Amino acid sequence: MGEAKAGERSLLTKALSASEVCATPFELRSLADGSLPEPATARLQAHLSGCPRCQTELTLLNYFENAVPRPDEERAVRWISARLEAEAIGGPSVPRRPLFKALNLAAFGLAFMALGAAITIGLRDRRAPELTQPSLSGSPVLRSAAITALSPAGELDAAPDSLRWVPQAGAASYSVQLMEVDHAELWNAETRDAAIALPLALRAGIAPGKPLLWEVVAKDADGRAMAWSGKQRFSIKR
Amino acid sequence: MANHLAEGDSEGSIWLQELFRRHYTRVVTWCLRVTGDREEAHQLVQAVFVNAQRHLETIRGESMVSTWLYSIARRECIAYLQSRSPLDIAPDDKARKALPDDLDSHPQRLFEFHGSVQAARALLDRELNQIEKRVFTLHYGDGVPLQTITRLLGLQNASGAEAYLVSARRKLARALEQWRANEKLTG
Repeated sequence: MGEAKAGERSLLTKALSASEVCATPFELRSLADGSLPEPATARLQAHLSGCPRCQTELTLLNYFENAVPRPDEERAVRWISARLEAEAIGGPSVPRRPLFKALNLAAFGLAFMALGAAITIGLRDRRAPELTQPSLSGSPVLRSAAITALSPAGELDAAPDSLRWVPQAGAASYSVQLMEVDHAELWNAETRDAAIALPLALRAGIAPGKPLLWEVVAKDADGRAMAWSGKQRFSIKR
Repeated sequence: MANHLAEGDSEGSIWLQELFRRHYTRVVTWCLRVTGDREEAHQLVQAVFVNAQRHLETIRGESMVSTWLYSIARRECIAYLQSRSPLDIAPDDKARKALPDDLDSHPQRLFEFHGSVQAARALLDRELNQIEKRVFTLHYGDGVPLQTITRLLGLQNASGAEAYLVSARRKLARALEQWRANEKLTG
């Protein structure tokens, strides 16, 4: 049995590890941003729609780029920040770890001093919602499903012209919502496609530096919600 | 900018500060979710930024900085997880207890099903929902412990990633049963 389990693990690892045709994080980001050249876009989109590895990689990339401390994480994040700052400044009572000695300490000292203030302020003033899947009311959690959002996510150079996601099997339509960070709705729409264009007036009204959220919900032929993307966060660089 | 950073000149220093200011919180948060422990997260953040500084020349333009940082953070986090339990994917994997034993006793059947790793990947993609795929991929593809997956994906159900692993394995076992039933009919 133990051998069999090891065999299973090995086979699953092969099936779920990156293959030579899998996309790099840079390709996934370019695909999501719509900045990949067309032949590569078609190839990668076809690959992504059937590759659990690349779908997971894109999800992780989006989660990383949208990572904000949850309320239960804030204390630990503050503690880590304070400790790194103290080590970078290098007070006599603070032992520097070997790894940290390898850094350009002058630059890092300045950086962490600036960061100490930025993080403290940021944690207090800007609490973006968690990127979690809404639970299905009255249904077992195991039945919940998620849509892989493609774009926009993270910091952008310009206002996005559309919202895009990976098509959900069995979905008849999609309901899309654009929100402020306090969940106040700015715009909503329905579509049968896996992308929807943002109205020009709406795009023009997106202020640089202001974070926004969007979410897509897949619906079946009877109009029942069947999968969610979770809240996706993006902003335009100042 | 990357050139200034790599050369360590004053403009590079300013840009380095800006880079950290923009991306620091997400790296700390990410490392905390990977480790589940502030002391270990603290060391992991250091390792990520040390490696980031060593590989500044690999930045592909300012618009890709967060993706670049993600690549480095991901690599460091996987190395960290492997250093903790190199071969033991899921020491607390209670998921197996509730399962049909087909996949444990006859793992090769998953691949007999279609005959290749690529086809097995397609099977997993077809049978599992998005969250199950993520949990399966991280757990079996990267060896990420279930508790870490629960934190990374922000799963809020009672048993976290473990529930999705159980569900995924049941679906795969059912797919095998169906395949066998079809074989009997056609064979």
